[in-house]
Amino acid sequence: MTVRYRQVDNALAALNPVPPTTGGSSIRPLLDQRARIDLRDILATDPDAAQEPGPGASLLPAGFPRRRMPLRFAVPASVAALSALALVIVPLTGLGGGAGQQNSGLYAAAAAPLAYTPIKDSDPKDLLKSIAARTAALPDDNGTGRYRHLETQGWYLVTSVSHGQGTSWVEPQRNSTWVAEDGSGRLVRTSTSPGGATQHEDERLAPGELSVIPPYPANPAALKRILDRNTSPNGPFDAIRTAYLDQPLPPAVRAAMLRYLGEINDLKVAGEVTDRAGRRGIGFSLDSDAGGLPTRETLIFDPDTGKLLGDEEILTKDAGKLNVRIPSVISYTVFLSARYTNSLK
Amino acid sequence: MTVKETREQGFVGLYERHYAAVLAYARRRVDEPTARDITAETFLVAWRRLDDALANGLPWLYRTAAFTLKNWERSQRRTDRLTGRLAALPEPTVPDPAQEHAERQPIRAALQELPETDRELLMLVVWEQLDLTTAAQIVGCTAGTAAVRLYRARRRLQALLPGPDLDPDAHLDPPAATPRLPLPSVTSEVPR
Repeated sequence: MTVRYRQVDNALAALNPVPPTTGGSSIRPLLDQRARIDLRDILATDPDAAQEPGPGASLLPAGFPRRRMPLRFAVPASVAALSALALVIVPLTGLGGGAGQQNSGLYAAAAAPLAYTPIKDSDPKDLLKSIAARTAALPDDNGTGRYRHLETQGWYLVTSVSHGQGTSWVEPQRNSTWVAEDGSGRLVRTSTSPGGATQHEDERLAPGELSVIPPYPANPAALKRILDRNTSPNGPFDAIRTAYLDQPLPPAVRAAMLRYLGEINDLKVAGEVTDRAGRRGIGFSLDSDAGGLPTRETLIFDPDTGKLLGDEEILTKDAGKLNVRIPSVISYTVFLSARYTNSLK
Repeated sequence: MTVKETREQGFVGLYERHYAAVLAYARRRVDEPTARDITAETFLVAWRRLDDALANGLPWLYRTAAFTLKNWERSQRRTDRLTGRLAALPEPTVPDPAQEHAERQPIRAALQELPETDRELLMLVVWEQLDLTTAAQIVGCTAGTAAVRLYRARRRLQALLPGPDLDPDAHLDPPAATPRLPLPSVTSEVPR
């Protein structure tokens, strides 16, 4: 939520019939009698029944597989980006190549996570502390100017599965943003649709049209308070990524973030790596199964500047009938540039 | 362990982990008895499409619940037409647990006036506290499109609220929910 719309969100949150903080109170225990009965009934049904198209299909939006469901209901196929059946590596220098291409069937392309070289006897906290110390001693390296200018390139996989047939496509995006303190700026996004068409959006925005998040503090306690607000799975990783997606961070803030990262339980050193832009970095990983399947998320930092170079999320273990090549990359982002400038070009 | 047992174990884990969240999602949109049915239907679908459900977790369940709800609403309207009751019933025909707020809360009324997808996005982000990318997946659009819709919806509702946001703490707080895709948070929040 931004400053500008905090009031809107607060007003809406006040109307939430089942507030998140108390949402479970009226439906506890989590599996009450009704829930247990439903579970028993569901398990008693034949999961392979009713595969053919049926009348419920007419209610589905175009493009979704159709099948008969009990009680007239039907559902879409999997569309979440967390599903990974195939991987096409997109050349960093452009959105061509495999960008946007569709693949039917499993194993449409080989998975290629980054290759990490283990660092012997490395403790993540100590390693991050040493990078943080080096970073904190740097002079400001983000330049000066009216606009915060960021360049990122990302890639993620979308998969649709129906009757054992997977259709996968990659959706690469390249984003360039220029944001001034008065909320004016320019947004440029190039993305590729599943059909292969490249979309180019270029918007100029007048003062007040963009919300501006204030600079992140270098004070460890203040920074922690902000980063801890992100309660999503892998929240600390998300919080750090968010900061880098918003603004150029000065060395002192980057150092504080590295120290914050060092306090995370279960953090592992993935190792040394050359990222997708050919830069040397060190990866730090966190494993999670919050999305339903075991995944590993890795943040890659420049050991000399403490800057976040990129992130990568991979599936780490067997995915059952999905027959996914393991490990498979689900998504990655490359942080190409973050600096201040007076130019909108 | 047999394949059947492994499958059941996977489903039960999914069910136990996410039942409360799916039920809460449904209860935010319909009355309790209907929400229970919607939740059961959602998990029945998950049982039949377990690979998809396990691969994608809660976002998949939310999306399935959303479609189940939509179908239920259509069914309700169809039934109403058949019985000749439609003209007599105000929209929405969906029972709404927060209906009593509508008259007293202009923002609630305005929420109902938003395009369906915009409203759902806003509810997913504010009520379910999902990040933008996940919410976009659930409503079936790209994160960029969702960002535009969300911005417009918030701007529209903002106009109904009195005075500026004077939260003294606000200047320090970046967004709690952020996109996982490479969308700069500023663009994800406020593109035109």
